[in-house]
Amino acid sequence: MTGTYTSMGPHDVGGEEAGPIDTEDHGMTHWEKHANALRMTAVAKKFGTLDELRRATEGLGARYYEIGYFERQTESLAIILAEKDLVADDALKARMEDIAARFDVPIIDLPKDHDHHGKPIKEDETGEGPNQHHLMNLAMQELLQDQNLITADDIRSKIEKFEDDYPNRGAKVVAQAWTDADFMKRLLEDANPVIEDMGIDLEHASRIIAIENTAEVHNVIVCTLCSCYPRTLMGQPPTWYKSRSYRSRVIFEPRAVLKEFGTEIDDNVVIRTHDSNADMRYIVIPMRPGGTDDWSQEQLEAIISRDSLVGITVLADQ
Amino acid sequence: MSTSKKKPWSSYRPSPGRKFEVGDRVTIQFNEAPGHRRTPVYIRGKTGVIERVCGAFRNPEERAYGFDGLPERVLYRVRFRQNDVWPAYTGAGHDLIELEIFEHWLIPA
Repeated sequence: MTGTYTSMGPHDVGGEEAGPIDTEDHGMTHWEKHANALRMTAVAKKFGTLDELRRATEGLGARYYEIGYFERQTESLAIILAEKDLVADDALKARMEDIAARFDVPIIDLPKDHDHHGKPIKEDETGEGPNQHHLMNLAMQELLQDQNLITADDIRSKIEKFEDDYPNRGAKVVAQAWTDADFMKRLLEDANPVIEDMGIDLEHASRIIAIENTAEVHNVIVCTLCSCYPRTLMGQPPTWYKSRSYRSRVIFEPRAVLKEFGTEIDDNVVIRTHDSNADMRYIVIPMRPGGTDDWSQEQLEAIISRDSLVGITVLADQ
Repeated sequence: MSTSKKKPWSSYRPSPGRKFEVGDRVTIQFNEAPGHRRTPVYIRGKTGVIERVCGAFRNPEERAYGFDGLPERVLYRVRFRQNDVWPAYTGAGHDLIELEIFEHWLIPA
């Protein structure tokens, strides 16, 4: 954008020219959910700080570009657990081999022409066995369990919360704000106590700022340095939120980016773009759509999309 | 987990002795010292206005390397006009961009 663009490293992408955004959310595979849960648990248990994990990711150099988001998160966790003397490199490699062997299924009762070229069959949902990064995460988990630092249930329950609990919370907060002016006022002033009073436990993981979309101002959220997002309030961010193209571009051409998502904002409206780059996390309170005046809170929750909570879409009148 | 919750629990933290108040004009230092920083390069050297005070937090530039990050540094939200950040900004002239910036990156403007 400036023509003389320099950055701190591969992660500092704000302002780079980049191509169109893949606006579809591709969801997460099981191994990615597991990787995410292990990382969140490691931070919650203070095995390392988020800043250390970020520093390790930023230090991957050329490898940063060669591997995907959850692969980077996995490798940075391994680096930090090694630094902290919690998981040594050789122990990790050995355990990965042990776990890989456990996925080998002996060939019994298979037709003669089904010999897999003499290779053992790997037992998992794809038939190819776990990838190297999943093995790495499984091995880190086991080695931490061996030291009684975590339990299998810590990881399992984290995955479940990301599936069933966190993703529904944001819409509850918005529906409450739409139907209770005093709640909205307090939410905009200081969000955490108001949200926690609803019975939503943010687990000390997110300091929330709620910002309201109005007829005059439209807010959009991004994290140009990584993928900061209020996960205990809104779950895992969609794929595009973590993408290089969204993170590079939305800060210098928000209107063009919004158009790619089918969102047109009038020039009379101020676009306020928020780079969520440090300790605060953001939820956009979208404008309440017309035709919902007599709706119940449950009905309202059902039309509040995840994308609207970062201001990338607006909610259509009903 | 909710039993361990400390009240009162606010989104913001206290920031005794802070140098700036809402509305103050500040310029972000242009400093390219290597290391883990939460101040993106695109905003360095730009001038904006304090939008709100978030409070004092442990310094991520220290915490990233295993130190405790103390003393805490005051974190502010700084608001910039898009036209001041991107000379070639093509959107509406009143558009804004806001970031969180630690006090030691701020110079009075």
